[in-house]
Amino acid sequence: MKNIKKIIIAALLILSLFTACGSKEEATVVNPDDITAAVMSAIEFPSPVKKDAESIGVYYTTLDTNSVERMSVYVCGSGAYPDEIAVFEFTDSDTADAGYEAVTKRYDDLVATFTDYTPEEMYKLESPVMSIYGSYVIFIDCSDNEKADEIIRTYYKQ
Amino acid sequence: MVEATLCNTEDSSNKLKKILLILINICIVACLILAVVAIVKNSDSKPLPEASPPPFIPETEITTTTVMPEATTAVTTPATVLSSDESVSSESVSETAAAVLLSDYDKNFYNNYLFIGDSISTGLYGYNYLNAANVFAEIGFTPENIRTGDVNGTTIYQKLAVAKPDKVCIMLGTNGLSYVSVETMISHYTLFIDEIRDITPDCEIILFTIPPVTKEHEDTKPENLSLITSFNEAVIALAEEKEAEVFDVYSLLADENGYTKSEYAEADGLHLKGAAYTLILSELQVKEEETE
Repeated sequence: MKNIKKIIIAALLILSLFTACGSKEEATVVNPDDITAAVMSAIEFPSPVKKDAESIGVYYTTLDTNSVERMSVYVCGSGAYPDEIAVFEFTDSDTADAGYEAVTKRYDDLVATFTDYTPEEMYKLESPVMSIYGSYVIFIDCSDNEKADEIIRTYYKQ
Repeated sequence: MVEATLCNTEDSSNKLKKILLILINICIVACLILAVVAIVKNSDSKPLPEASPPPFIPETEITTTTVMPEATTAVTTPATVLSSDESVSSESVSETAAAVLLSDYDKNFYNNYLFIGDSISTGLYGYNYLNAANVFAEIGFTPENIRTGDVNGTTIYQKLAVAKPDKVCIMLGTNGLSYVSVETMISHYTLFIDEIRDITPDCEIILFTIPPVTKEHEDTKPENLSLITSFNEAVIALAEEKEAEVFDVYSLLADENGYTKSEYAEADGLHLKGAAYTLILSELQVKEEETE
């Protein structure tokens, strides 16, 4: 009887682990505007201008906006600096993968543009935040990418 | 009989133990599988392409202007996404000795305009003051390389052929000032105007003088007022030769010393803040309406 009790307790403990594994798989639902607001409150962005689905195409040229549930994107309006923050919530993780490719293209374009134009700004593009969290894709290049990444990770704890 | 009962009880207990052990093993395996799937699926980063290192380290520190949003509100400029029937009002109004400069314009007024330029012109759509479709501009464009370059794979000639604008506004020359002679830039500019007229012979061309820079920029960078002034004089002469209009952006934005007014200057002293664009678009609209 004692052995049976021990076995039952062990089974319950293992079942609790099973439950914990399941909770880690659930996607964190976050409002992209909250993330950009949090980052921009902590880090300076020069002349930030918000973009919407109609105006983002000239920047993210391969992005399928039909697969975007929500987004919060700010670019430097004057064109003087490469600073940018983009948080996309896609319909699912599969479209997020395609979205990540679009973000990578945008990053490549920024690098190609600013390498010769304002090389002193290139440090912002050397270690940008480029991450996928479930159906979310996040791209940030700014004067403090490390700090930006720390803020992002508070929303997507793993 | 007692012994038989005891044996039966012991058999049941063993069976129960076995069943529980099997269940536990199943749970362990399932948990391990799910953990592996979670690790693979939720990997938080992918390899990044390495950026090229900067070719030089700047001597001066670039300061930036900021707009700090509140925690729950999005940041917007005075004019962001506009409906097609909406007029734009800006809070900034500049006053000259001769007239009050305007800062209101109708975005729809420019539906059949095409603005051609360099990074400074990208601010027209960067600040959401015009639709990107009405702007053909790219960082680094000069009167020479705009003839061979492209914006997202489209050349200016392809753009002109498709858009068929009624009016083309050109603001080029800031790039190249410090390493190309005014004569060379104007010769490319001349060819460019001819090529535009070949594609869209009926469109009117308006040449913009290029903006000033700030004193701080002049002190640290190659672009200076002397070069800008020389180039602008050549642009005005070119406009007369080519029977094109001139719109004097430089005078709109310059202070009494010829430098960019602080309310219009981006932190780098070369590019422009949003207020500069609303001023340009407002004044241009007034000018155009007067001549129509």
